[in-house]
Amino acid sequence: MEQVIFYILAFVAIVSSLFMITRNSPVHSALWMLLTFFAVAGIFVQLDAEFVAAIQVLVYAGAILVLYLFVVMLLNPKSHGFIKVPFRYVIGVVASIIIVFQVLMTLKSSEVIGKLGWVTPQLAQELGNVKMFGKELFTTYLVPFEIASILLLIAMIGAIVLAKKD
Amino acid sequence: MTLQHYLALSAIIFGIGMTGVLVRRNLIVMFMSLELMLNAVNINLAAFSKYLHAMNGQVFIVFVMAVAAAEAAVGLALIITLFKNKETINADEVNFFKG
Amino acid sequence: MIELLILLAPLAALLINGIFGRLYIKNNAHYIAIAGVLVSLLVSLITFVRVMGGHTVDTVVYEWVLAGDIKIPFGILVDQLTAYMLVVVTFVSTMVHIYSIGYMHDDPGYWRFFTYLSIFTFSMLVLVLGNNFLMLFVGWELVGLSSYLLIGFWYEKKSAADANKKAFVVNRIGDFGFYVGLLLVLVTFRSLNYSDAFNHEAIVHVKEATFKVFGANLSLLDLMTFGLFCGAIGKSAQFPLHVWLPDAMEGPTPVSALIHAATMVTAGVYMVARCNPLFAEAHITSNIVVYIGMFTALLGATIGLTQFDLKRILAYSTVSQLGYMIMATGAGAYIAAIFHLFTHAFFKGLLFLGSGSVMHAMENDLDVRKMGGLKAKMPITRWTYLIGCMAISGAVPLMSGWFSKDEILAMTFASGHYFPWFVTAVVGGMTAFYMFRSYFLVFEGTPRDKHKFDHAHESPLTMTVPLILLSIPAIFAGLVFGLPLENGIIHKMLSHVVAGHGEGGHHLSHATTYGLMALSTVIGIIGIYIAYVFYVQKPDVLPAKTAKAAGPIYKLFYNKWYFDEIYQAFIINPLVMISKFLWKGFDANVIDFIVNAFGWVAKFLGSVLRHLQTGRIQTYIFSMVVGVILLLTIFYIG
Repeated sequence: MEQVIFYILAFVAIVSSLFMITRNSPVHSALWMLLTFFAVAGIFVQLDAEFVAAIQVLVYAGAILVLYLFVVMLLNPKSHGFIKVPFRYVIGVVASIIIVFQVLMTLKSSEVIGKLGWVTPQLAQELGNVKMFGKELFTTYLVPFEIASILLLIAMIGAIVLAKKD
Repeated sequence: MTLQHYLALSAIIFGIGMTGVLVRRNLIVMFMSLELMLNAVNINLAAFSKYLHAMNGQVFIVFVMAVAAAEAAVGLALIITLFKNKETINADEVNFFKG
Repeated sequence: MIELLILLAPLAALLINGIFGRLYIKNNAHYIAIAGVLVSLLVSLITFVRVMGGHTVDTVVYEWVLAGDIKIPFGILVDQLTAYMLVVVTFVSTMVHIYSIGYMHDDPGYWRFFTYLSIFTFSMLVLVLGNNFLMLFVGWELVGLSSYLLIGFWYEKKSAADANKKAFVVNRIGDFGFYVGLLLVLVTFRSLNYSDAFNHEAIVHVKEATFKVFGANLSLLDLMTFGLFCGAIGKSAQFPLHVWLPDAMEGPTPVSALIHAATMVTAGVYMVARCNPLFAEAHITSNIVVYIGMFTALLGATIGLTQFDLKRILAYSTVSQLGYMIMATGAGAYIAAIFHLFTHAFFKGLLFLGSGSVMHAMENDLDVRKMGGLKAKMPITRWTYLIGCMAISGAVPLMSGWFSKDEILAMTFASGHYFPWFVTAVVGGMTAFYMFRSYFLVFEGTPRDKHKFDHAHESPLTMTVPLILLSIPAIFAGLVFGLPLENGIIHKMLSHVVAGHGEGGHHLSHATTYGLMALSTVIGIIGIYIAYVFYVQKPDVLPAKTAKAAGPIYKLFYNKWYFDEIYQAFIINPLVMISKFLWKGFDANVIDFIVNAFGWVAKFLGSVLRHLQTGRIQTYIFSMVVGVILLLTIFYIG
């Protein structure tokens, strides 16, 4: 059952992302990306990361994608397809395929070695994903969390300054 | 399900995103492809988090998302400014850095 | 630690004059400089008396250089040898300072002159007071610098600028050897302190060490001392590096008196005497030293016979006298050498200052052929100059030079160097001749240049007082310090420094000593008598006739043995040619070509690679991707 769901989700994610990069219209691309995000959110659920899956839907699908759509519609640019030079087009694809191939080859002969963390399956059962996530985020990663908030603030100010009419 | 399955999926999506960045001319679509690559990385992080019994992978996903949001905001603002000035968001036509 | 004051007083004077001289002190510079040097003189005299009572000092003021296990302190050593040098340096320096008030009174660089004098005094005192070779070396180079500055004091004069360059460059050659000697001392004794290097056990330990140089076995000590002696050759103007000293007379006359006659040029003698424990064991070097000293004495005297420039006569006599001292050190007679250094400083300083006084009266003309009869116009200068001549000639008994020079001759004889003894004894006669020649030409006879004679006048008090003060030790230094013969105060004191060697080694019977003294006195008197005949009785006939009779020899002497020409032809010209070739041929074509080629390559690569800089993001990303692929591939293969 688990495998079936995984393969379905993986299939959806791959196909929709392929469509995303091949659509001519940016609006279509954005919508295909939405589908990809949902599929990835499903994958997150399967990986026992329910909280992250929720954020994925909320932030990515809800906020960022809407932002993209806003910009696309605001600018309404002429439709631009792929880069004009066919040769570069081909080598771009080939290079990507080579990299993916190389990574997959690496995976084939790899195994997981590493020190296991404190999140034992029983603990996960007892506490639940969100509680553990919060514990980790607000203890060990408190300072990076604050920095991330400052980063977002700066990005907000920067975006306003840049996009403001002058 | 093994870790390798997730990693393979992540690699494939990453490759697709990279192809998008390499071959598209529209800056907005290039940005979307970037987001796709970040998503692939997030799958990686989540998978390792699960298989290594650790929470920090998921925390990192949140940080990546925060950075992605910031990047999208600033990047899109830049694209707007660029469009205002050059009437185009075609990456081919933007070559301020030509030597 | 009162001795530190000797150093600090001139240093303070130099700093005050150097910083405030140009704008504020100007023509009052002498007050500060003289105050500084007077303090030095007084403390030196106190120190001398204390040393006479057996109170020597060897202290470390602070650790100066620390490198690994090598420690070089800033230390002060006051022993008997230093005490003598201190008195000589500070006394002559004080006299010259006072004299300069009158001599330099309307010079635009008045303050500068006194600053330089302070620099010199300070440097010379560093050289003398240091308790290690490094301080000796620092002082050595500092006196070289001040000598350079003072020779070129009138830098707008081309001859002065050339002379100071010459002095500097020639000294560099000697200093190179000196430096090698220092390094050998350092690697041999692992220390530069005198106390470590002159340690009897240490010397015995390295005595047997030998080097093979060009097939000949040279001992380590021979090489070391020869290196050090090279420094002395340069600084003390010995053959073959004597050429700079006569040219150095381009500087102001007080400078010639102080630096190029009395003190700095004797630094080489001081250094050799200071290193006597090393030189005593280096027999080959010692022999070289004897013969170089002998030849220099001969060279200086023969050239001095024929010169017409008053200061040059004195300069060559200095070269000759330095030859005596160096020869004495080579013969192991260190005490005699220092004794002569001591007396020579007074009478040669006196002679130079006297010549400056004459120059002052003759409107800066130094040609002795235009002088004559000046005794009527300048009685003080005349008498003091005569005292100087009598002292240097060694022909007048009981004058200071008579004691010290005869002692050198006797010691050379006693050490078995009969040939050098013979040569220098004859040179003694020449010395008497040319010194009195200059005296007779300048002060006796009839005036040859009426106009200049009429305008001649005695110099002001600031110039004559130093002359009188200097003539006192020029007369009595020998009597006070040298009696009884070979066992006077100076011998007793210095025997602590050169213990167990030198004069103790060779003893002559009293009869031989008196015989030798009588002989050299007679030779000197003959020299004076010939000078009298030549230049007072028949000044118009005899000199010219003799010059004609001697022909080529006269020419050789008159042209200074053609040393300058030989150096020009065989050293300077080839060097200039090589330099020109290296400049125009090598540098312009080869080096520049290489440098330009780098430029061309960079330019070419740039013109090719600039096409990669498309300005398109995707190109850049693509190259990044290619890099990743390459890295992964390497990861695979590896």
